[in-house]
Amino acid sequence: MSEKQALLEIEDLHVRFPMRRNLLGRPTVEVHAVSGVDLTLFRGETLGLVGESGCGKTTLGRTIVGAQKATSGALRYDGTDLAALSRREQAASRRRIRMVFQDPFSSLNPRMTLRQIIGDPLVATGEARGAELEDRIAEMMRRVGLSPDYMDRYPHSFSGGQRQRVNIARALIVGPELVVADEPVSALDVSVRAQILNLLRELQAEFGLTYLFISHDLSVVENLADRVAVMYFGRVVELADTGALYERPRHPYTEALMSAVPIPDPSLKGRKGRILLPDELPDPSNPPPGCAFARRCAYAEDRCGSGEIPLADGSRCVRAEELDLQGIVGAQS
Amino acid sequence: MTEPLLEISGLRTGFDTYDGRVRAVDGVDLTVHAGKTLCVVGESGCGKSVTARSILRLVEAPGSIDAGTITWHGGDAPFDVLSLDVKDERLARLRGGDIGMIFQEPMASLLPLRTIGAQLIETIRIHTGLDKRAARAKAVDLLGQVGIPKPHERIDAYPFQLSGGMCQRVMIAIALCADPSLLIADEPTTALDVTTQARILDLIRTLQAEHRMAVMFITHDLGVVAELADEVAVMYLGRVVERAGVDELFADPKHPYTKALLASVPVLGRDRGRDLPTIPGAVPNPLHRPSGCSFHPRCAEAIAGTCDVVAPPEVDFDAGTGFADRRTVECVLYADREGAPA
Repeated sequence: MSEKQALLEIEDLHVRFPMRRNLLGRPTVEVHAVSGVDLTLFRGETLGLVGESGCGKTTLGRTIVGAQKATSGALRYDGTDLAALSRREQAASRRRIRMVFQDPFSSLNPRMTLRQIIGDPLVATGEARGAELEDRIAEMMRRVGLSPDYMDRYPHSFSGGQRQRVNIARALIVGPELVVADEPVSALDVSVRAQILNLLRELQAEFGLTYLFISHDLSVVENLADRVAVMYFGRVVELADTGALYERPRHPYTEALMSAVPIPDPSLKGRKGRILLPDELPDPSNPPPGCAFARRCAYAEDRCGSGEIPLADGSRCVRAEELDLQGIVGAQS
Repeated sequence: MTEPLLEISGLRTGFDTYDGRVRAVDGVDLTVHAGKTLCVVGESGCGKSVTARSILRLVEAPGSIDAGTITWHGGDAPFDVLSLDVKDERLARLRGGDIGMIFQEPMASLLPLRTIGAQLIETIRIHTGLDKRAARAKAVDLLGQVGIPKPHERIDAYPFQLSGGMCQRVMIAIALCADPSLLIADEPTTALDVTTQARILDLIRTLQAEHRMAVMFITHDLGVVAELADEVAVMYLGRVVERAGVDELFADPKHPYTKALLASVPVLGRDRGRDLPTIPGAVPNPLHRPSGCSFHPRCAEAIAGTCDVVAPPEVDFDAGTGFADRRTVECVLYADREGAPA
């Protein structure tokens, strides 16, 4: 893949949730979950989306798959604006963008067998039936590492890892191009996570998939992603190739996030300078002017508190050029 | 090294289910030393939480403690917690007094309809006998100690008005109110963001140094273990399969499970873009515990005809120079060392 080809372009996307409404039903107080995201996903890549709870990463993912309406902004898929499509065309585009959810326990209907769960997208569209349906379900199950013998069992008899394989099979059976995976390994036992991460990598190579991989876990994202976008308070504050981002972060929030990750090596104890952030999160219904991170940032200056700071050269920090921020410890070895 | 504060020996705790009895904790020996941190690490179903709850006799029906002793050395004379009558005042003094406990879900552990101050003051009064005014002053002081800004205002807040990290700080304040000599923390940071986790871990470390308390920290996160622990016990399906000082464990893991776990977890800066070594299968249902060594179906080094038949022996190693007084591995691979002087 020498030539980078844009698959999904997100332009100035905003998602706001109304908290209170006035007499006329107009929202008076709104929570800004996603406030002005510009991102491009290239065909065949894995874009990692990291951030802490409440940063808007899940809302962004849900908006991309069409489970959440955008307040404003555009989603351009393969050159066409998704919002401008007719209902039928939208349904077709939904087959090309699929989602894998975090919790393998609540995301599978306990009253449906694996055959029904995995085959559902094919049945709903009338795309396959009878023997062909069964063949495609069996083939997909084999691909994700499940024995087709389990086809008529219910989710409760499977472990978290196997259920996540079911989730993946359901997402992939219609042959999507883009898969939005929202924390797909976070709910799994640590000894099982590696299996699912390797499986996602394998399937990507085999089917030429593009991933938007949403996670709060920086180690997992580093393992899988080609590029990483860091979200804070509804915005992408840093965007870079994985290696560059982890070794030379260019936003103080990325630096703080990385320094907070515990590393399983006791010899590093105390060697890495840990940045302890104050708890002052801004009010999402009343965003501060300037940089939303400024109040918690050790490098903040007066100029950080005013004006709109654009994403320039992959960082939404006005001091990105002058700061020498610390990447992951031990990366050089 | 230092004197033992709590000694668990041969603990067995089980739960009755429709399909039979689940042996959640199946013969566990653990020692917590005064002023030190013991990390108990394991995956779901390994019995780490049930072990912690057994210490305070918080196992409810259909579960019960079947065997073992839990000796508390923190009082005037050592006594077995498991042989106490439930009405014994020593048990009441232990719970929330000498032993503080914090849990994974801080929001779910606090009563939603009472202010955090009311919950804190109640515990303070039970354990210290202070009057209302003095207890409130102590509550404000404790909230300040655990890093809650404007504690005199926040004391009248309800749990829903605080973030998860703030609620966990309140839980820690409640656990600390009677100056415990042991803090049991059951995955206290798992539900929190990493930056919040970093601050809570830092807080626990600081408080531990100030109050010289021992900490028994339960987690599945090996990174957290490396940061906090003096000693580590690795649990799998109700058994301690390896125990060691933290440096020895990470530098030279011996049990195949520990080795595989350390290799399969992605580490910052180590595993960029590469396939990870995996542990096959999943943690079995404890109802259907595999025969012999319960890890053998997933073990890369399992010996057919041995590991699936005989229960592995607990082998003692030289404990090294760390804090741990014992280094043991429960695996047949080291069986020929058994009986050899450590």
